[in-house]
Amino acid sequence: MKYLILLIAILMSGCATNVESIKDDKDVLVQEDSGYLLLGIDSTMSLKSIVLEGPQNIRITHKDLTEGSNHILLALKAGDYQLTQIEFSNYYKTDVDDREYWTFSITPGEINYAGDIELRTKWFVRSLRFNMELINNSSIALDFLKTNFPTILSSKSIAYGGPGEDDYLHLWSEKSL
Amino acid sequence: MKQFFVACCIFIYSSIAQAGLIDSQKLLTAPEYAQFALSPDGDNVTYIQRAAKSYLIVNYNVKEEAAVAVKNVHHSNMLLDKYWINNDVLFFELEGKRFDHSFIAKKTQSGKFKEVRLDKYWTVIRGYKGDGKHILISEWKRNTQYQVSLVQIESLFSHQRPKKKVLFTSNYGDGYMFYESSVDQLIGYKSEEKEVTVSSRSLEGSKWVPLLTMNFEERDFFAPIGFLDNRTMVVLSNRDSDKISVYKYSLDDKKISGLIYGNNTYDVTDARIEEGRVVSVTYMKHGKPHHEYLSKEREAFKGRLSKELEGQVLTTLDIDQDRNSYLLHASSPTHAGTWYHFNSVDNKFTRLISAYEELESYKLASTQLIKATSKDGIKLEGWLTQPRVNNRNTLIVMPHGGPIGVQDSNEFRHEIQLLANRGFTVLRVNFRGSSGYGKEFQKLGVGALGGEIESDILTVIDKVNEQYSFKHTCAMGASYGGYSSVMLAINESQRFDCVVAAYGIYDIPYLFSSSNFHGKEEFQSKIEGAVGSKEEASSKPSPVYLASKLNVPIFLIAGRRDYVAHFEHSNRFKQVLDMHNKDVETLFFKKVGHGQSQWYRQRQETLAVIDFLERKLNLPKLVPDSDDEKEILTRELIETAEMYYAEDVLLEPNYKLAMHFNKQAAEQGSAEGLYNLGLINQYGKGVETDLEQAREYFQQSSELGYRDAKVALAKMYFHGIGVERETDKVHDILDSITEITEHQQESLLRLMLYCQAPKSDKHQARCLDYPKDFVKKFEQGTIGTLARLIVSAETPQGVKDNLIKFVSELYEINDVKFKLNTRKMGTYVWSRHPGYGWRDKLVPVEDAEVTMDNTKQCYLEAFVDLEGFDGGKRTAAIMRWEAFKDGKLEDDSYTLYRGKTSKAWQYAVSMKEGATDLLYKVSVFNLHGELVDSFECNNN
Repeated sequence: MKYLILLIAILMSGCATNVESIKDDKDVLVQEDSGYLLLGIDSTMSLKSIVLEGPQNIRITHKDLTEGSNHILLALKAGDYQLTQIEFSNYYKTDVDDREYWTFSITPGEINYAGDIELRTKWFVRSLRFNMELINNSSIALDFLKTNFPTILSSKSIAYGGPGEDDYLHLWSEKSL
Repeated sequence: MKQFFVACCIFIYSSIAQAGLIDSQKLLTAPEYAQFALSPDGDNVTYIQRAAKSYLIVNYNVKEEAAVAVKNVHHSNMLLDKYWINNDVLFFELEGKRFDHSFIAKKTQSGKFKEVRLDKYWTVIRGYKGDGKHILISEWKRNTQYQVSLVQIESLFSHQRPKKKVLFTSNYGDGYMFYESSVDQLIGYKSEEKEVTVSSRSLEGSKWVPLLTMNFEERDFFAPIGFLDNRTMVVLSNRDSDKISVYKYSLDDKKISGLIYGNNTYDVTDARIEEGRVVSVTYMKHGKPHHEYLSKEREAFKGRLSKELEGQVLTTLDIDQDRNSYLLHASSPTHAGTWYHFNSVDNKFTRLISAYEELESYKLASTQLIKATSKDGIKLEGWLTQPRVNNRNTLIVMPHGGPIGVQDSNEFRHEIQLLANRGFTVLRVNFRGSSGYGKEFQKLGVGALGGEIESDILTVIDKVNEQYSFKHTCAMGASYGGYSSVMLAINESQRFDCVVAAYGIYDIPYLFSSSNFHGKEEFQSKIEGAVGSKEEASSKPSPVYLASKLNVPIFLIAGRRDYVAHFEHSNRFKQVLDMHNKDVETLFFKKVGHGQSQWYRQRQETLAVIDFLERKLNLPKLVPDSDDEKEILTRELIETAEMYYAEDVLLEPNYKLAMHFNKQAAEQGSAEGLYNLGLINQYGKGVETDLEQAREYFQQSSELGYRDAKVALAKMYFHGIGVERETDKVHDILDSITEITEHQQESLLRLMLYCQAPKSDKHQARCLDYPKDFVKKFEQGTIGTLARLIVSAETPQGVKDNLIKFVSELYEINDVKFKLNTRKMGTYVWSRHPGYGWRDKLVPVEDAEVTMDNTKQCYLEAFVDLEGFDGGKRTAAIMRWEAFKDGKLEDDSYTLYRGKTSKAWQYAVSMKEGATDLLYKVSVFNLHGELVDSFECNNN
């Protein structure tokens, strides 16, 4: 029995929790060690899920991953996260290589924009080919928040948390642009 | 004695050339003629001739002065390559959707060409001449294995398996081999990580011999261009010099072994090797390609022809195998290019044709070289293009992109000629960092953005202002040129009156964090090679952070799919300019990358820029000198309006501007402009729907004879849209149409009219004859119209009976009366479900999990039950949807479903998104027009 519990514990620790993006413009950050993650997805096909690993392992599901351009706002524990897996459908998935280029960080109490995952897919003789890149579209993300989450945006500062350094959102928050 | 024959038209052209307004459709368009090649015997020249939707590959026999078409190709299949294999056999390669297609065309005895398509796994190796009876191919076998073989040309046309002699297997891939006939060697090149390795082998030999290796990361330039002999290559390089020069390269010692040619001022761009000698070198002198001849015979030859083509740059494109016939190309800043054939035996010089024959009758704007020296002693070159007509006294300063390793030149440029033709003076400058002036000059530009580079530009402007004065000055550029234009206006606000910045970079630190891959070392080093070190990036001036200092109107142009200068640059700059309440207008294209790829869109973009300049500088509008000029300007207004009106061109259509341009066109008497205004009002694009206004515009356009407007107006009267139904008026309007070409909307309206309100026996007969004809041309529209006629109470019963008979016979309908056994009915939405790929299915709104869009569907899914046993019988149902607003019919549509009844029939109507006040009603009728069932759907 104790081995079964151990096995469950091990399996559970590797599992990602399904999450859904925040829909209501209400500040839901209650814990001090958490922050908001804003992630853009611009994909030529709908996706089944994407997995992020970090202080929390989470799975963003197909409900937020329809074809086209979308933004996903989540409240997560602060820390560094990596994109580790993309499931295109029930039958196709890929593990992400070069993870250092797919890493972003969440600072507590802030809105952290990670970038837009641009995914271009193509079917070729029953195989799925794809290209993906994490593009920093900070100003578009800011427009999204202004339109859809003005309350959260007015109560929290916003910063770029994706690969590389970019002060634009931070300067906007400080009203020093 | 001068024996050259020069086509008289050159002289005639120069004496009667027009100086007026040039049609932008003639100027900003693909060349009509291109891709010329000379046959080995020098008697034939092939080229392509473009038409609207296709192009012809043509062969012109110079001796017989006769042209024949080799192949007519759809314009989407771009010509990738074309060359002669022997005197009678032509090779060409076309771009396909999945595979590219190679063809061999053979001249028959009648002079026409017979073609054969080659195996899709074959690649013809360029340059192999051999005995003239074979082609050398590489054939993909598996993974990276390619088989090199000789294929007998004749056998390709024999309808049997081609005769092929396999020589060896190689791992040099598709298109990575060519044959160098001067040394009878097959050359292969391979790219591996940071290196390109070049090797050679003879066809009889047993192995590849490495020749040289080139390193991508090497900052110095090194490019092999040919062979002097088996052991010596010719390379262009600046490893041992500041300027790119022509060197011998010893394949034995693997190093540069001697200088062949070097220039003190300019980088060499090309060299021509003939019979083991470098006979000429090319460099950009004062912005024009300059061919310097190293052989006395070639110098003399050039001297003879240059007298005939004064001021033009003459380039030898090809020479025949006996060295008697030449294919030549002449061009200049005011002339896009003309091809000539020269036979040195009889000294016959024949003008073939120009790239833009339609421009031959115009005199284009000439360009003047401006030389200046910067404060720190750098010698600079600039080019000033001045208008011949319509001078607007406005200087457009146009910095080039890059900024490193790119140069401007004094060659024919479509956009500059259009700006000059519309009265603008254009100045371009090769500032520090530009290519063509050596390594040191280029290095000076690294990290000099927003400072020394712009200072160079101002130095040249000062020089221009010593000679000329202008009322207005604007800066305009693309890519780095966009940045530079903004910085010029920020730093020198008193000297600039406006800015046009396209596809630009405006946030220097952002260059290093535009994408996750920009964090990679190779990307960072590439960016640093242009703008300086990453550490210093934040200290470089960035327009985004200096927006408050920009005090002139700015037009920002960008492409959402630009991955060179990411769209984010433009969008965040616009965001900050808005925060500072600056005068900013945008042209953000939805599907465009780093610049336009279609001539039509490029023309629209340039016309929008001209409009911006006119508005912001308060320039008086150009006054046309003739009806032709008036027509040109009016058509351009319509074209510009289309860009703003179209749904999928800009990120957000700008209906206000679409209306503005159409109104301007209408004021110029444009019937199309009036018609477009009618549509805007009828469909409420950017304005409230105003049917009375729409009718008025259609009426005015009709009075000017515009056919589409007549049809739109007639439809309003026939269906009673915004007016009382008046069929007599419809007859009058349709009778006034004189065009006889096919027009679907008009045809279907005539069918309705002649069936419901005929005025003569002829009309009655047409009611029954038209469907037979129309159904072959546009089946869906015709059947929808017949369905409407069958249901309509306005259609006489006798006519209905005949139409029902026609439809029954057409679709072999056995049974008419049915009942519906409904499975699903009501307001649904498409929901996406994962599976092997993804499936979309319609579900009730409340059950939707993942919706692709919020468009609701008024949906019916039902079995059709015929009376009695219905196995195998075919029936038909008329499906109608209607949309009502406040109980008033807004829109409707009819269609006919037909077939067997073994499966459920599905009918879905997309309801207008966001129009929550519309009530949709779906009705199902049998083929007799009797109502079977109906239901309503809410759109809220």
